[in-house]
Amino acid sequence: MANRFAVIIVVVVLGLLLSLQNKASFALRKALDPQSQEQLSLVVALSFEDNRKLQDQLKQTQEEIGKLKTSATSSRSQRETLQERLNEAELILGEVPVEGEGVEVVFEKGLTTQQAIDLTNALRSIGAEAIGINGKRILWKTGIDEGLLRNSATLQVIGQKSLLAESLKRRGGILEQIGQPNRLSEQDQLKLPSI
Amino acid sequence: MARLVILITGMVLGGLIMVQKRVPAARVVNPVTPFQSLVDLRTQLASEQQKIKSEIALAVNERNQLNEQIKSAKVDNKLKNEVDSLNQELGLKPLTSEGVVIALDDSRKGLPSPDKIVQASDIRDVVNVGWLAGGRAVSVNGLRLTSVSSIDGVANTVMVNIQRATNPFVIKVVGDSEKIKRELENHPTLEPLRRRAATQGLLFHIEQSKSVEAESYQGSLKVKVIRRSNGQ
Repeated sequence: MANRFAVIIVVVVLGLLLSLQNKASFALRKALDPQSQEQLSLVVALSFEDNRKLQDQLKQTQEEIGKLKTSATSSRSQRETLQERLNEAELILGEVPVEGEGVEVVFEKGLTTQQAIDLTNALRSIGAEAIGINGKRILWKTGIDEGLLRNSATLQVIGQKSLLAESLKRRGGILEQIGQPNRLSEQDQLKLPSI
Repeated sequence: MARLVILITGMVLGGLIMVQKRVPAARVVNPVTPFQSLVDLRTQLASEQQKIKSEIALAVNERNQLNEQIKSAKVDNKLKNEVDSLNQELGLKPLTSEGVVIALDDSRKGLPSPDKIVQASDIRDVVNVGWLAGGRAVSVNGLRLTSVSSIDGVANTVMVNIQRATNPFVIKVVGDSEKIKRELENHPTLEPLRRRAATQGLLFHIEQSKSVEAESYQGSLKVKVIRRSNGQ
């Protein structure tokens, strides 16, 4: 009787283990299989968003073409176009101080290097035009090193404030993924120094 | 005693059935409707995306031609050269100089696991070290990184500049090749990646080169909100 009981226990434990294993491998297959319905839904949702961004990009380029066609006719407007290009380049490259509406995010406990890399990457993706960390301007080509945000970090992000705030706060968004307590506020006017 | 054993066995079996029931089905119940419509929609969106990209490429080409036309006109040379040089820094013109070419690819060893797959975060970390080492320009699979660039993981796909990038990932960093290589080989942020390359078979190869071209960005870098501040 004792032997039978032991066999039953072994069989039950084996059954449980098999079931757990099956569940774990299903989860892994699902995570790695691009065809799974959940991932497909995500891809579809993001494709809508990507197509919208690409449409915006096309519209901007077409607007540039319109302006260039006008300015190609006189040397005065050609000079103005080049000057406009120069001014824009200086803004993007941080060669001059900049200002504009945006959001401020305060992380009391600081961030790890990886979190800062992910966060600045996400900010560019949602339309940040200028980013500052603790009052210092950082560009897409500013390497993020340990210590930049170790103890506490205040991020100043210039861009369309409502769009930035909504994208940052949304469920599953970058702030939720980072998981650090933070305070986010929309700002009418933020200023960032030159590099 | 026998009743007790049967009772316990029955309870355990019941438990097992419950566990199995909670495991989601590996296939959709109705394979025709929801799944197929999603597949169709994805195909439709992908084809729409290709169409927009072609239109952007044509528009960028036209814009570049008009820019050249304006530059060749009688306008101050100093201003033209300044704009040219800034366009290279912005990524709107290709930049060729010494640098490194990094190849990242999934492991071919054994069963797949997240550690054996190149993630978008791996590319972001490599790019970050490239910038830290003084890189002047970076491209990923021919897509130049600019002020509006992001590298994102969408399901199992890596997206760079809103475009799908597939492995092997080729990251070009223009700059001091010695310094960039040294940083890529030693920077602590890349320690997990180097470990995965050593133990899991992930490809992480760094090649120095005297001539590396970071391609130009195919898009617009217009700003809408930032403006020059006089009060800083």
